[in-house]
Amino acid sequence: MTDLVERLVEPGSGTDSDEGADGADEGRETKGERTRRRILELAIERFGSRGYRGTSVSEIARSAGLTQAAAYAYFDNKEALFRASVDADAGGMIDEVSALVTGTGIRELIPSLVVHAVMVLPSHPLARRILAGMEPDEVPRLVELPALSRFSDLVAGALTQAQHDGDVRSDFEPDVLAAGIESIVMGLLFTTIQSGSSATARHISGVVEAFDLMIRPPG
Amino acid sequence: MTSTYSEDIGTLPEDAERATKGERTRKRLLEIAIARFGDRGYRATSVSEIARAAGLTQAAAYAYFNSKEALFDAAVDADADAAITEAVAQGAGIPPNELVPMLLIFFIGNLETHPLVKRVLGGHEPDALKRLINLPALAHLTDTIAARVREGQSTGQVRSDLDAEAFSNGAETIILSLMLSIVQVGSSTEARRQMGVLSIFDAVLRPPQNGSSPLRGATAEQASQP
Repeated sequence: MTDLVERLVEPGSGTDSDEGADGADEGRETKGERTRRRILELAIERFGSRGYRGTSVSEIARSAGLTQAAAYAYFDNKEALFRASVDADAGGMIDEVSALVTGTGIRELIPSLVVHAVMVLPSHPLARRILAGMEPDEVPRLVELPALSRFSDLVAGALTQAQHDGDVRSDFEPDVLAAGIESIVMGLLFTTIQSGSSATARHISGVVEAFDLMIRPPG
Repeated sequence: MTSTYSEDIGTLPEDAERATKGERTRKRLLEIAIARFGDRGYRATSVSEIARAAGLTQAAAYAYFNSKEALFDAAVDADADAAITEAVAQGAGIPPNELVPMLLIFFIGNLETHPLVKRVLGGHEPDALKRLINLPALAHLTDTIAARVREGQSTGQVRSDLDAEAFSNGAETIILSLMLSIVQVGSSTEARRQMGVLSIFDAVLRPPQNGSSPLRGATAEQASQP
């Protein structure tokens, strides 16, 4: 069986900034872009550990070596900074997981996505905080992340290609299936994090069995 | 804690007659507990107020449940079991390949009448959420799904090379997970997502090369089968 998931990662998709004007080439990053990125990194760390309420813009600015006013040149207000931090952290996590599942067989795609997401969570404290349900207002925005629809498109594209190659059955619509996979993986992630324990063996093997059958070509 | 679904009081008239006063009292305690815990949560609700509303002393209530936590757990299980029973009943006429997504839709639709389940799924009782995976009522769900899948296999609607039990365990996990994220994300009516999940379960169950999927119309580019 072809490694469907090799196709999940596009070259150069490692950027976690959605707003870099001239693309992802960090060698040509301007001082302003570096500063913005540094603010975001620190904000992710602080918001991730103390939450929206427990963190102030001035402490983030201070740790970036800026005044609060200088920080506000990059982000309109605390909420805008928080949202940009969520997008950056969650987007980065999605891109990281996409890279990690490269080489995994299609049979294990969904459980593999969940397992890898859980593994990288410690380095994405803000994403983790939201998935853990500690910032309820932010949760509805998760499903609108650009990184998420980028990921869905990659899964759909990979499924389409695999259909052309005859590696998976041809009687389903890849876009629709990818949307379902996205929903299910997100749901599994919520459950895994909030229930504080990984699913038991019977649960995992049930999900694996289901998705193997879903995709396997007839005959 | 054993599942109570096989002892559901009041399903048949004879059962209601035979139910002892003790069973009726226990049931009443649970109903009130579901409403109170569902409304104000674990911390803000006391066993004594539940007991009082059931016409009991606190001590009498503790004859039925060892502790506040035991009462809470039993209430969650009872509320979940009722929600599952309702959804399963609504799903009675639905073909097996559409059953799981439809159960999900029914659960969502019925959630307002199950305040304690909604509260726990919403993440407001983190300790209870940790125990949710092992909820006895979930066995009811899994058994139902497995039975419907086997039925479908005997009529050729569901592929025969699928292990009904393994599939139903996976389906249970997925339903629970999707319920959690739907309650917390709040976008339960997003069509794209619903279609996606429907499509996945149809693709899992439908026999290959057999053209009776209701979603076949969506795959316009693929070679169509009668």
